[in-house]
Parts: sequence; C-alpha cells; structure tokens
Amino acid sequence: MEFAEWFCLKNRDSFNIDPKLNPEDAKFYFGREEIMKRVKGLLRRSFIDPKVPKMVVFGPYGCGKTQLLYHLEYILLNQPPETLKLIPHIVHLDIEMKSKSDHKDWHLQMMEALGMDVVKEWVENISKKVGNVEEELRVIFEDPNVAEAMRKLLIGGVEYTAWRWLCGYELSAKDLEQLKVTRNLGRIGAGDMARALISIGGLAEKNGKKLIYMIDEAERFTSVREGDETAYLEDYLREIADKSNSTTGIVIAGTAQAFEDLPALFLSGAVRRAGRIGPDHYIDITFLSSADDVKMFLKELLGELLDQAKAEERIRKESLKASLETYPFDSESFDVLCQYATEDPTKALPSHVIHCVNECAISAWDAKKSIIEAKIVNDIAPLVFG
Amino acid sequence: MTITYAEIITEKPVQRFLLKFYLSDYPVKNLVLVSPFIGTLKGTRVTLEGLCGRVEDKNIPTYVITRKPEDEDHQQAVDILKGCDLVELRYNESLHAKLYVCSYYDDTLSFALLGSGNLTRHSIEKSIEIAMMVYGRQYGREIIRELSKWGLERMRTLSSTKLAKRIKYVRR
Repeated sequence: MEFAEWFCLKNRDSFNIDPKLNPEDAKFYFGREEIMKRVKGLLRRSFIDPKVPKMVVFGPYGCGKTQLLYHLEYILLNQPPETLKLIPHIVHLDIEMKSKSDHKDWHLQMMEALGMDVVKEWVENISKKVGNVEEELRVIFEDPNVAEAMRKLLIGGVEYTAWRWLCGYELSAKDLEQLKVTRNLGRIGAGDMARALISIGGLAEKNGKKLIYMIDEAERFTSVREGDETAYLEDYLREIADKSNSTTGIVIAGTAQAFEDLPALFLSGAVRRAGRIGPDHYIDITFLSSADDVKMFLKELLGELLDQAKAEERIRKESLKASLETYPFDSESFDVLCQYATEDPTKALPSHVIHCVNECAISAWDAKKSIIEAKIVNDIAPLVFG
Repeated sequence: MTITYAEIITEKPVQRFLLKFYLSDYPVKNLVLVSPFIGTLKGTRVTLEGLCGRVEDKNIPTYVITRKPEDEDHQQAVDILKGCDLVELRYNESLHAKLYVCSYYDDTLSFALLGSGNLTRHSIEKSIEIAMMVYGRQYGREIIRELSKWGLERMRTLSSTKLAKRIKYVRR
C-alpha cells in the first residue's frame, strides 16, 4: 500500500498544499473564516467601485498569503461575486526587485507575466470585430503611441519590437521610426508606463475580461535603495492604485510581521489614501493564535484532504481509536499537536501546522501505524515548532 | 530573456553544490541529499563531517536518501550521518537518481543540483560528471519546488524506501 492510500488521501500524494505545483489546491483556505468574509466583502464592493480590486495582503512568513492569492483566483473564477460582470483574467507574478530596480523593472515583469500572446490575441479579436482597428485602438488607448504599438503587434516583422516597446525597453531611434512612435515608453515618467498597463486592462474589458494581477513576494521591494528608484516605484503604484484606474486590478502580498514592516511604498500616504488603496484594503493575516484556531484549521484540512468514506471504513474495519474528525490522529495526539502549535505564538502558522501533519504522517507510515499517536507528535512537533 | 535560473556545470558539480551550501549565511529551511553512493569526502574541500557540523550549527533538517552501504567509505559516511541529530537517513536499493536541494526560507536563494554525480570523493575528483544547477530565480523557483517535493515527499514515502535513522530534536 502506498502512503496516500495508507492515510486515505483524496487524489493527492501528501498532506502538503501547494497551489503553485497543484492548481487544484487553490480551492483550499482553511480555518480563516473571518479573513475570507472580509476579503469576499471587499471583492464584492471593489467591482462596484472602482470596478477592480486593489488590495495589499501582509503577514508573517508561512501565514498563507500565497495560498490566499491563489484562493482568490479560485473564487473569482468559480464563485465570482455578483458584481463582477466580466470574466476574470488573473495574472500571477512573483515580483523580483534588486537595489537598483525601478518602475521599468516592475513594468517589464507585469508585461512579461501577462504575456505577448495574450495581448496580441486581444488586439486580434478587436481587429476582427471592428472595421477600423486603428480608430478603435485610439479609443481604447488614449496615448496614440501605445495605440500604434498595439496595432504593430499584428504586423509580422515588427511585432517583437512593438512588444519590447510596450514592455518599456529603450529602443533605438531607428526602431522607434519603424514603429512610428515618437518616444520610448516611460520617457515621461513612471505614470506613462502605468497608464499603458491600465489601458491594456481596458483592452481586456473590450474582450470581456477583467485583468487582475496577483503580485506575490512584495517584501522584495525593501531591497530597492532609497532615492529616485523608490520614488519611481511609488509613482507607478500610485497610478495603478488611483481611483481613475477601473480596468486593471492588483492584489499585492508580502511578508511583514506588522504593518510598519511593509516596504515604504505601501506605507506612503499617497497610496493609502481612500480612493486608492484605502486603509480598509490592507489585509493583515495573523497567526493561528489559539488552540481552537489550530483545531479548526486542522479539522478543515483533514476533512478536505482525506476521502471521508474511505477513512470511515478504515476506522471501522480496523477498530481504530480515532474519530473521523481527527483521523489519522487520535484525540490525544490531535490535542498534543494543537498545544505544540500554539506554544510559541510566532510559530503558530498554517505552513508549520501542515508541515507537522505531513512529517507526523511520514513517521507513522515508517512505523506502519494506522494512527498517528501522541508519541509521534511529541517526536516531530518540537522539530517543527521548536 | 536571458536564462539566469539554470547553469550547466561540468567541473566538480557536487563539490560546487556543497561549497555553495557551506559558504552561505542565510537561514536554510532544509537540505535534501539523494545519492545512491555517499562517502566521507575526506580529502575534498567539504567533508561530510564538515557538512554535518554546518547542519548542526545552523539547525538545518537534512534528509539523506542513499543505498545500503556495501563498501567501507559508504559505511563510514553512514556512520557520520547517523551521529548527526538533524539528519534523517533512508535507504532505497533501486536508487539511481542524484539530486541535491538546498531550500532557504527566502526561496529566491534556494538552489538545486540535478545530475550524474554521487556524493563521493571519486565523483568529485575522478569521474567525468555533468549536472544542472538550478537557482531560485524566475522559473527556477518552480523547478526547485518540484525537485524538493520529489525528494522530501515522493522519495521518502515510497514503499521501497526504508528509514534508517530519524531526525532527533534537541532543544537548543
């Protein structure tokens, strides 16, 4: 018998959850009813005004920020709020920032994550629908240079040059002439690039899509040195966060123990102002602070990951001293795990709890035990939470 | 886009991995070493004893999967690993893969080596080896996640993989 079968796991080979490796895992968000209620409410209101979500999610490492981003995607695609009238087009981006990174690096990553093929397809769809694509693109893209570069995406030979221009690469005078644009994108500031991105959101809308970015690892903005680079990044964010942007959503997640630990650009008054990313749109994901929180989290996790019918049959057939609610733990080991998890509040994190469950299961599997007993938890939990 | 997340290494790839692990000062989440044959690495730049010292100093859970030792060097290596509290040791007699993964809490720092080289002095000094080093940048992060999952979950829970020594927690 294999490990997964041994513990009645349902269509999975371990207790670990990773939506990046297994997209099916995006449907899970255990034991955080309050947070989900708040986020769902924000989402619902966001699509009324300003018509796209703009949120910042923060919390300690392992608290479930990445899981939340993927779960939000799952919700938007499978249980969208009634206020969302278009089909969400979600783009995930793990941002990378270095000391000298600025708005150009951010914009490039946003564009690459969206992808040339997607934008090209959107422009192609427009060209099929309307007689005069040039005119239509000028309506969508107020900046005639952006409209021209978009049109060139459909022309073989210059499509890659056009894409590079849209990504913010510095092109030669010859390339600019070939594209028939008057300047490089971003030449007149970070807002120039951000507005191009926002107008791509407008293009998405013309295609029946709502463009929403899920940006992870935002703590990397702290790597950027103080000075012009930070100011440019703030300009870029401010433009996207602005109330006038109703086409391109952003949900940004980053590790920060407290609000004050967020990268400076997210603390800026200009960004936090109501109408941009207002104070209510900063979501703090905390530790699983009490044993009851951990119990709830664990019960939901086990309930979802295990095939309940098989588990019930196993418990009955082998007369195991465990309830279906806590299986494969018995009641004692379940309580012991919850106690360990909350011993040090700073370690009471979903990632640690899941890791501990998996390691305990591997240990029970090694010993060919059907149930994870307290002794196993006592051996493993100190290593995880200690 | 320039590929910066992977590099082909033909010059002592296993030693390169070990040195990279040994010289880094950032907090490591775990270390996975999968190699059919392992040795004490005495005479090379990073010995197995040195590696274990580092693992203990920095409190790094380390998962080693190898075959049951048949020669003296392999046996000595296993004895060294068994003396290290933070090492979990497993045997799998069908093992042919060689994989080394160093996962950091900041996963942009993580790196993995996948190639032909065993964790032995012979592999480092005499054999012609080739390997791919993957770094936690761009697509590399996803690759490392997959490799780490394979080492930490799949390999450890195969019916044919037998536990030889578990990690022992010592409160510090």
